[in-house]
Amino acid sequence: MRAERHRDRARGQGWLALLTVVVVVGGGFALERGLGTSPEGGPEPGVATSGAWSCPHGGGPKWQVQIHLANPGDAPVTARLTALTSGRPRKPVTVTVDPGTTRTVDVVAKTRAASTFVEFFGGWLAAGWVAQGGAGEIGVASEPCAASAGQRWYAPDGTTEQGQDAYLVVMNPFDTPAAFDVVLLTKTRAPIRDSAVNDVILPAHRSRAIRLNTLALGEAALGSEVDASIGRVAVASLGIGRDGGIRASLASDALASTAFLPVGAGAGQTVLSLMVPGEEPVQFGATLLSGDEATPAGGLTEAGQGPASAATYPIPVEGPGSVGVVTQGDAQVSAALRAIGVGNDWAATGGARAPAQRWVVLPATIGEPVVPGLILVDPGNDPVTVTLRVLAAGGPDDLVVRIEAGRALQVPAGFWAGAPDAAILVAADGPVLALAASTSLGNSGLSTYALAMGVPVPDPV
Amino acid sequence: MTGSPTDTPSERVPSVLVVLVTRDATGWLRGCLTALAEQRYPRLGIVAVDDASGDGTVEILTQALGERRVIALRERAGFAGAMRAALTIPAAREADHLLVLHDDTALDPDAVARMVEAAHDIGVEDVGVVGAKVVDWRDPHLLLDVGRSADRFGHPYTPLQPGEIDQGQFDRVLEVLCVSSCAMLISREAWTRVGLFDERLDARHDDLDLCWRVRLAGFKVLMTPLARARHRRSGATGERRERQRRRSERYYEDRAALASLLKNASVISLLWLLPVDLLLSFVRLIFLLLSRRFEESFDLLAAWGWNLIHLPGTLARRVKAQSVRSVPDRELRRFMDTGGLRLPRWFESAGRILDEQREIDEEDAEVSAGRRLRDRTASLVGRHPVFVASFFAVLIGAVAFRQLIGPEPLAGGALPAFPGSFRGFFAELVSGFRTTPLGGTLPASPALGAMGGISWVAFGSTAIAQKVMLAGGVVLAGVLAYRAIARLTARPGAAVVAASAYVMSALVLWSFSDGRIASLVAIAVLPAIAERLEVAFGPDAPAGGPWRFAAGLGVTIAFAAAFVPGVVIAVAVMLAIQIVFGRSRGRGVVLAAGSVVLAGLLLFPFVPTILADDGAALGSGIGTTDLGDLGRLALGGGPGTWVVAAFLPIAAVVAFALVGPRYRGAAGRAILGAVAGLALAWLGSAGYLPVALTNAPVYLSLAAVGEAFVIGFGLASALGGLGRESFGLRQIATGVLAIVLGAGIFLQAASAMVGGWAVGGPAAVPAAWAVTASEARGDFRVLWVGADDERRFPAPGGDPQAVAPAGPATIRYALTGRDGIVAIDTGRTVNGGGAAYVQEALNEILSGTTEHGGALLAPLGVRFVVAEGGDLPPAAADLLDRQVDLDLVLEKGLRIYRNGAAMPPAAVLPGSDAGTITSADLATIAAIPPSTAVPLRAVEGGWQGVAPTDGIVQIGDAFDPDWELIATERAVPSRVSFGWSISFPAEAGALRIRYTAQAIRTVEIVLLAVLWLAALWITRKPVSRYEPVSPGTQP
Repeated sequence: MRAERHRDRARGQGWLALLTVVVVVGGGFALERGLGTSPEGGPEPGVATSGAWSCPHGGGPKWQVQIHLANPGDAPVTARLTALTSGRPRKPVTVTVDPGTTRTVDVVAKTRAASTFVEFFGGWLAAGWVAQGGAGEIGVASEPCAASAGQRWYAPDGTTEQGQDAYLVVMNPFDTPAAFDVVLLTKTRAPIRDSAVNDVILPAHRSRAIRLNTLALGEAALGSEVDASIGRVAVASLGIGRDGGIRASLASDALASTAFLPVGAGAGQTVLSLMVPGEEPVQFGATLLSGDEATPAGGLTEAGQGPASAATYPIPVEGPGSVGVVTQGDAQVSAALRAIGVGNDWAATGGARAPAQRWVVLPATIGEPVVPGLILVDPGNDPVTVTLRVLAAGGPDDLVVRIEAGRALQVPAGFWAGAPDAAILVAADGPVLALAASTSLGNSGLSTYALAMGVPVPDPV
Repeated sequence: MTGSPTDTPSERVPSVLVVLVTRDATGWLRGCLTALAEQRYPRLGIVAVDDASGDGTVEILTQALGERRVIALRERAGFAGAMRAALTIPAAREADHLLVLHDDTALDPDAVARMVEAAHDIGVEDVGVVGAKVVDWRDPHLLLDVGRSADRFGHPYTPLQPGEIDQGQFDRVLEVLCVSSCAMLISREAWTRVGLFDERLDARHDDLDLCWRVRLAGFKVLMTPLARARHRRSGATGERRERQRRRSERYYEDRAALASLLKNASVISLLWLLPVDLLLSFVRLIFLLLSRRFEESFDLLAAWGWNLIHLPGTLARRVKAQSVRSVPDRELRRFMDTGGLRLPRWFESAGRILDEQREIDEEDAEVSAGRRLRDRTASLVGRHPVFVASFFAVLIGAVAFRQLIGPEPLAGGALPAFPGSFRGFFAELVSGFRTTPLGGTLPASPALGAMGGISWVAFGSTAIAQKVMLAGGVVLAGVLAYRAIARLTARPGAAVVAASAYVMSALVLWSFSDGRIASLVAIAVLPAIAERLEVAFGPDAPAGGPWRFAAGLGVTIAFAAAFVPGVVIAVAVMLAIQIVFGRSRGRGVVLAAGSVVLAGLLLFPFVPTILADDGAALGSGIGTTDLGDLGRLALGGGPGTWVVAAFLPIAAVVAFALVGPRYRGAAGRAILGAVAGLALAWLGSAGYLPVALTNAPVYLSLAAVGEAFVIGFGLASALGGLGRESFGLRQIATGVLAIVLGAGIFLQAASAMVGGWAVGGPAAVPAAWAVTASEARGDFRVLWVGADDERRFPAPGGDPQAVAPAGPATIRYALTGRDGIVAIDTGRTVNGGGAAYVQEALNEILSGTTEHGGALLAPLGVRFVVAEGGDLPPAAADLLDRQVDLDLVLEKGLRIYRNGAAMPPAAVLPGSDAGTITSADLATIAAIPPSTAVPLRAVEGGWQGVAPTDGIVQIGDAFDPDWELIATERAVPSRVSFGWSISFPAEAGALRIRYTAQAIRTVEIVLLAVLWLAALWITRKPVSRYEPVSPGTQP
């Protein structure tokens, strides 16, 4: 009897052990499957809004450079501007931009390397620059500042043909030195990797201009790739014609398979600059959106471009329009558009990678008299309604315009003419593109021309 | 002694005067006198000296010997004094020999004759002392003394084992260093040259000193087995009324040994013997202290103190002893213990075991070699499981630890950096404010006292202490697990196997690999706590009384919680299981409550640190939700965390099936603890428990303890009766258990021996860390970030301290000083307003709101943000890349951002606007421009430096009103800056910042020390004041 009881107990203990295994393993799987890991919460909404713009505008003797700061929000925003050159940075200037207004700050830009670092606090600001040449360089150039600094930049808009000087303005607004290489791409030559632009050290809070003519002279199309192995930089190309015209084009920090390149009314010759940094040839097409039906731009329907190359394509444009570049197979390219104004002053823009519903278009004019122009493009398939507001105290009433699908239009000149130093807030009910295409009276009495792409407004500003 | 009287009958027979020293000896004196009366030696005289007996001893003596032969001392003079009194009679000075005789010694009838014969007739010249073979009075088969040697430091050493039976094994005349004074024949030449006993020494320890001096004078000391003396050991056994002995037996031995050494060793010998003796005594002192043998440690110190006080007398006696020296020390060396040092007990055991094995070999000489080996192995393991386990533990440990041996400090894993000096631990413990990141006034852990103490013991080297603690943690885990299981099962074999499985678990090896000294302490102590709770709730009242029990458990809990506060969660779980399933719940709850209260008292200054921020210090950022990892108790990588580690839970389940009725309840509670540990570890890691209750390492420790206990119970059941049962499932299960445990422990040991630990030399730290380590610009802090995967950061980042939730950009993080995690932060985490500010600043960065994260981190003193390569979630990496004041300076191995807006943790900000600095508004802080901060130097009690211009002094530590700035003899009170830190308006010139409430902390620590001393005193290992030691017993 006793032995039997003992056996029974032993058997019971075995079952208990088995039950433990079942409970542990089964319970474990049930917990994992049933409950899973507790989901991560999102961050609390931030309160310390801040950001920065890098403005590699360049400069020269007697140049006048203005930084336009536009505040589309409803709270005042503080901006700290630090002018950078190849030497020690100047003491920062702090300004406050009231809500719904634009503030213009003159910055010192006596050398090609001049640039400005804009930090803002307490809200969001759009920032862009307008540069007016001096000392025989009579053109005007304008671009929005770069929203971020990065390690790789593509500047497709360069030419070192006779009568043209091409520069890269590279700025390092940060606290640590940067080191970068420049690779030049042309239409026919192998990529140019000159030792003079290899491992270029750019100390902290410094800016530098690199003259491309010394590296690749006589190239109608000269694309530049800037690759920072240490640190971060911001890059723009600066073109100066011997006849005085200047243009600036903010480099792109990423390649894309599409590019939207609006262009203004009244432009003459227009040139598409396309840069293919990759190792594979690219097939692409270009479409011109204008006031009429969309058409192939410059006959570029199934064009091709070799690997590691830069090329230019003439695009006949009349009136406001937008050149859309699309590559096949998602091939990655960088594009820019340059156009010549009525005063023989070239203008350039890096365009946009995508349309957006809200833009701030910064002034592209300087001096007096000026003719500010605003180009709006609807690259989509539906018409959009756009509300325009001048970001200036006591500015004109909002203007509402309608853009047909796949069309471009120029906003009536009178709307912006009353406050040409103010930025325009563009708010649409569908994705659009917005570009400033303006003329200013140059130093020598000749009209100058500048294109400046708008700045997409981030949510929730 | 010259001449040979018995060879030539015509020569004079040497006279012998027996000096019988008596005291309170009525119980046995007649036996002694009868034996004397029966002596057959022809020229024998007797004089008795009574040392002021209080009973009828004198009367007996007078009756037996007559008044003329009895000297009755009126006051106690001790043995040496009595001898001195005996020498006052002319017969003593004229006798050829004195036979010193204790009153509790009975000589065989021919003993005196045999002793004289040994002195004169066996061809040995210059015999000064002859001793008898001393056996037990009641059981003459029991050997008590056959002559003794000593180690080089004067401690006596006997060749006899305790209880050794006389089988004639010592029946030859032996030349020895010393014989017992209970029956000692001394020649007149010898005592007149060297004197008699040193009256300062205890009667039980004075014979060695006398014999040593006799030896130095060129005489020989013999033991003749033909002369037998029965010794009653009346003093040692307590039969004789002894005066209250104030100290332990060991005290008197140590005292006599050192005094003898000082008197008798040559100067050259003393030059090395004395320092080595001092060192060995020091080591012994530490061992005694660590094992809570406080009285013995005091006795050791007292023995040295006694010798110091009596040094003049010792030196005087040394002059006398050395003046008659005729032999060098080297000639005495052959009578001293080999090697000079007394071998540890372990080696002695090894010797004994080898002897046993040799005997088995001899018995089984005809059995085949294979079977002999099997039998020997089975016998060895069965009889000496602890010894065998210790042997393999030493072997495995030596191989496994080989990479960590070297002079340089260890680094890597989660090993905290130790301060440069042991004083660093004590300084932080006593400091009124925290000197590590984010400061504050919450006290440091009492664990620093233990760590500082160990560092001090390790010759003041924290590098050695680091290694000792790391390796010692594993050893301690094994020892305490063994003790706990052995106490519960009374089966050393089962306990050894279960403890080996525990030590070879993935959790222990991972903790060792990562250098988690604190975790190892918790892992080591938890089995002891579990066992104590099992006893508290068990059927029988704990031995030693409730107070001692509660104090012991309280000390244990406090010790573990000082290193890992989260241990209290495991204790709570174990307590809950006992309350529900234990037996004597009432008694158990009372004892446990008492223990917890005492533990709280022993941690009282540290309790607020533990409870701060809702008990954040109780939690741990380490964990995993992987069921496989949890099942194996593997919380990270490293040797022994592989799939084989599953042997422990598998063995536990099989063992649980084998548990017999005797252990069923305890095994059930243990398995419940294991299951609860696993479940809680998962729930915590998956984010379902509050931060204070999320501590996977502690929960898995609980699981490991439960599994090891179940294995112990299962094995104990199997070993306890399986052989008597008919073959069946239980036998099969036992076989499976043996295979699982054998293979598991073997493979885990092999994995450990291969090594590959995360800790090691400087190479164990990522090479990229040099970018921050080489930063020359003063002090700074480092923010470690990575994906929220509950892993530790690369060295020296340590464990994550918190999580910043941000959806796909969620990160875990930790804030450390420039050296990474430090040992002086043991048991605490960042807390207070500064910790909340870190969370807010990170939220701003990860919400994408700001691009001035560097400015937001600046008040914290963060100069670098560091992540392991590829560890950051892409969304978080993008957001950090966007910060204009955080520059990515390295992306190889580590992703390191330098904060361009960083401020030193303590600095003067010249010309700064007080309104800005004191603002808690994050938008305002983000806009603070980088300034040329002038760092302040950390000094004892605060900081000091020079302000170049007027400005603000900013200290990146938690605000406390007791900080003040002293400048031009004016005290400036502190202000809150950035909502949580300290600032002062500062004028140009020298300044000093000091903490004014240090006195309170000092009092707290003194009180804490008193409490610990009291608790340890209550739980000390008592020492016997009346330890029965015979002259022949091995010390």
